[in-house]
Amino acid sequence: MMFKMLKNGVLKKGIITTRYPKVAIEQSLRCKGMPFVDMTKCTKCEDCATACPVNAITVTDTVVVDLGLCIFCGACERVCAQDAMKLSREIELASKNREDLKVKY
Amino acid sequence: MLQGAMDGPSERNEFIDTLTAGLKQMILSSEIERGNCTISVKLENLSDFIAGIVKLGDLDLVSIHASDERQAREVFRLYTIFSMPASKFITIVTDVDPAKPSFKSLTPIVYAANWYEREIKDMFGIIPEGHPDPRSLVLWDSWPEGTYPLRKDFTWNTKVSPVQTPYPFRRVDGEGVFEIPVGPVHAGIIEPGHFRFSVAGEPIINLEIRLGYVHKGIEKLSEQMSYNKGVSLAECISGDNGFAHAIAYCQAIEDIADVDIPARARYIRTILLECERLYNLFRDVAGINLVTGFNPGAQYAYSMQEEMMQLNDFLTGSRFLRGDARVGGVIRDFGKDDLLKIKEKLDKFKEDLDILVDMDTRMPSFLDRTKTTGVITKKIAKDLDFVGPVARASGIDRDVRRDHPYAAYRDVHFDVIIKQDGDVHSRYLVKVGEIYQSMNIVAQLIEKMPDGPISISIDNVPEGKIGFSLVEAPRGELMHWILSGKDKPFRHKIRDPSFNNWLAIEQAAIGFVGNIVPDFPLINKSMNLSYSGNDL
Repeated sequence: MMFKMLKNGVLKKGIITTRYPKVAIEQSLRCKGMPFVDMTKCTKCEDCATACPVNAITVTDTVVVDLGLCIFCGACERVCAQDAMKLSREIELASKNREDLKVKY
Repeated sequence: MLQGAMDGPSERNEFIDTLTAGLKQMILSSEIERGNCTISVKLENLSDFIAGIVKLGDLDLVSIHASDERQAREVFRLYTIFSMPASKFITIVTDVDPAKPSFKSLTPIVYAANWYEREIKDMFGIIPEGHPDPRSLVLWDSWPEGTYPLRKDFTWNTKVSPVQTPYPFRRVDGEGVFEIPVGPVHAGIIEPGHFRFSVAGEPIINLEIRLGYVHKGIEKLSEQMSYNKGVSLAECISGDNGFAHAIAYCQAIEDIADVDIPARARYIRTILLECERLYNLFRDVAGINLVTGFNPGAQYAYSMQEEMMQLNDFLTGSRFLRGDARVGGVIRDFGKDDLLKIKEKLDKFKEDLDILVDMDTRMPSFLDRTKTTGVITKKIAKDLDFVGPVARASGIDRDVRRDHPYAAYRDVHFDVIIKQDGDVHSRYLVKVGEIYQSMNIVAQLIEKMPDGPISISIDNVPEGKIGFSLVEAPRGELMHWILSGKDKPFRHKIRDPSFNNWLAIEQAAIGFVGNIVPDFPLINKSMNLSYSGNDL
């Protein structure tokens, strides 16, 4: 019985996880990563800042996205009429300093 | 949301008609909307009225909660909600005078009211007179007395200064009786909760659970957030039930706005709800295998959980299905390829699971450990209103998906898995059975998938209306109840299934046939409750 499970199950399955970070992770096509702002399109209408449920976006002369607060929900992307705000596929966002998480565009 | 719109006038007063003349006299006013009955009763009659109606029939308590309506009506309001098997809800509304904030406790009549009333006392300062256990429940020990966070005069960002007050635990005295305190910090860095065992040797005499260490003020916070933002908040209430919470929240708002969402959105919601159930149940099966000491089986089931979460990631870009629910529908449509991939994966899981279940159910060491361990009798499960797989393993035939169908559950056929023994093995079998049923449901949905839009916009959510929704989350019946305010909830009550089922662990540990301390991890894993969902 045990033999059957090992043969058909565990051994057949093999390893299903990835040895990250030694091996690059296989990202899903719908992966939600760091919000990216295309400043050539942005009209600073503040719609994204209003829609953000965690108030991670501050719009002044620049657009600042605080990745320490961001939950990668994509609300900003959806409200952006200019198509300027997009969730990128960038997911390696670790930082030793909280200030570095504030990304300025 | 619910059946009833098609009900003829003959059925309208069905519930009230069954009441005796004495009970009818107590009713101040009654209203029936879409088959759901709202009855207004005077405070002094509340306990007599409820004693009367619970005698009449098969009523399950869904929630008791209060709301601070002093600005509009100069009263606190108590809402007591029962569900009836025939797809109907009964809400009993009672006004409480703010000058004398107390009511006669319902716990001696409906045992399940116990924790709800203690919660009302903590959050609103409305005292349940004659409650057998008047200790604090949800707020932490050092919360200052006389500060009630859900009252409207308490602003959400108030900082309170802690006052040291020890919590009076129940004590068991006697020769050779010892107490084993466990937690709130646990070895496995799980969530925080304190367990206090009273033992004589190994057998457990009493277990008392103290929760509330991660109380976050979600209900208060929700009153500050617009409906669209609230979906993100609902997702965070209990991490691995996030999608169920989000859908329950959305459905409550759709109930207030009285809109029907497109069929395709309902189907996609249902598929994702079942995906969430699947990865939760794989993990539960793995946990039970792990604690019985059968590591290969555990890793095998964990690998299925991992694959399921990778499938979630593929479908929505989030392993926990975050960010795909929205008020009025769903955010992402699925193509034919996606649906095909789900189907392929599930067929493979079915084969994999067959091997594991075949082995588990024939292995003496697994059966020895799980059978007769942590028994919950049907009577206790009924009296204390347990929900979900825990209740179904004790012979309670209750499943929201069938009893009060939402999303696309009306369009699919499935069995509700019931076992009678109430032990860990029954819970294991119920969970395994539900995995097969989930796969079955998803297969049917993929087959029938309708075309069309995936969401509608809801612009106008009327003020002062009540929206209510029940969802069968992986752990059981989940409720979101919203009294709408101006563009955001005026009062948002959430009842996670774990809130009902934590008492099940206390009961199961004491048990029917005497459990010993090493049985506790197994009992705990067989229920696998959420601390975060309980500590709102």
